[in-house]
Amino acid sequence: MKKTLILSVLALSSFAVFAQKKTTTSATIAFDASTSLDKLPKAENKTVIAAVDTKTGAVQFEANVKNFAFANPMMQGHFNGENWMNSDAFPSFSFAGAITNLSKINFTKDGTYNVDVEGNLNIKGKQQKLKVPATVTVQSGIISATSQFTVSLADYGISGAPIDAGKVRKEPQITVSAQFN
Amino acid sequence: MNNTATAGQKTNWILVIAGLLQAVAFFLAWVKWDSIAVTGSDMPSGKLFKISEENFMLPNPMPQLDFAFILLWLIPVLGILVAILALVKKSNAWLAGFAGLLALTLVTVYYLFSDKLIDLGVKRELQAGYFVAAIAAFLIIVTGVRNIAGKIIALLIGPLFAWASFTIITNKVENEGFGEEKADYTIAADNLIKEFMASDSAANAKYREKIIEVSGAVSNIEIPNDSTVNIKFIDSVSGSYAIFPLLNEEAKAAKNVKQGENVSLKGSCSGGVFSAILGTEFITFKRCSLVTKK
Repeated sequence: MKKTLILSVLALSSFAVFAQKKTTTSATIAFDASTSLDKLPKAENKTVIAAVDTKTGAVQFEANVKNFAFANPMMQGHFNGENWMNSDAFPSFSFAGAITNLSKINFTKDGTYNVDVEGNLNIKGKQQKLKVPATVTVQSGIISATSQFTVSLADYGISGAPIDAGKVRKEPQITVSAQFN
Repeated sequence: MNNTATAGQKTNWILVIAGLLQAVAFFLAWVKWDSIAVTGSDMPSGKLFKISEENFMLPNPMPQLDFAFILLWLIPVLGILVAILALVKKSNAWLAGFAGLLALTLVTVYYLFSDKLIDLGVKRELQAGYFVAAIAAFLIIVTGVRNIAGKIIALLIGPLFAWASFTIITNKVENEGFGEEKADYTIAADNLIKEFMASDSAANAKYREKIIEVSGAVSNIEIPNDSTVNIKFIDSVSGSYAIFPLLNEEAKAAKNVKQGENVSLKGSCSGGVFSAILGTEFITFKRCSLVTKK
């Protein structure tokens, strides 16, 4: 009886922990490095895995680099090439961090909450600290989040003639959007 | 009488010079793409599209017109003929009109095609040969074709034809549905996922950047926004999955798909990666289309 009770408590507590972690496999990351000289270096990845822990504020996302879809194959090739993302060697990139002002969000009440997220962005095996603003929306129990920020390509060892020539923005805009299940 | 003879002589000399210039300019550099020089003759020889495909991944957008490109060899031939006829004082308005028209067609195609490369970030520099060819063609038409209507038609018809054909064909190519591409592999969803789980590296080497048609019962449908429907096949034991984002027009059709329904989906496989968040393998696809609902 005692054993059953312990197991039940354990099962319930693990369910509670599970329920705190909201995930999605359909988050989107949009990458925009277009300039006035070149409108094409932009792409979207619609199959990003993202997670948020409503209890601790932990935030994570990861994506398959090769699944960024560009309008034309040349850009796709450059993006995945050795000078850029080198996706053969580094097939995924990830972010792990936390909402620093979690108390601002009431996950049980519909509303839009502006928060800050701080963590480490890992691209091409290089890890950089990142602090970005994010907007969390709660509507009928569904949590959505968006964040828009820039990253410096140089910080991740990404360089090349198109960047020097002003055809690719040195600090592309990244937009992350996710609706958690 | 003397004035008419002098004017006729002048016209003949203009035609001689313009005809010869058209012939010579054809073999000179017309444009530089980054540092690669491309001559007028590179179009009918097929070298132009070879250069653009090998260096800039932009293939010939109109291979169906390859047979017509051979006609462009007439540009230097007709240029020389115009010059010879003018030298022997036998003008031929039709010949002059056709010679100029062909050259202006090619001049327009070079401009439009190079413009596509600029969109891809390639630096384009028009070269002396391009301007010489354009001016020579203009002079041949203006001096060789007699009436004004003929001159206007010969000046406009080539560029207009080139522009219309190029626009129609490139629009067709750019908007071509992915569903028309042939699949490199056709496989059941559960077998695909098992292959990736058995050996991630072997499966990536086999399937990555290949077009794959995958069929099976839909495990899950996620609709992150109005223009996107993500269809997933999930391995019920491991949780590993293959995911197909269907966008825009494809998304409209995919919205009718139900969980458990058997479907075939086609897409370019981006490979499988292990997710540290989910602790499963996820195989992603891009440029996806719904092939059939069964």
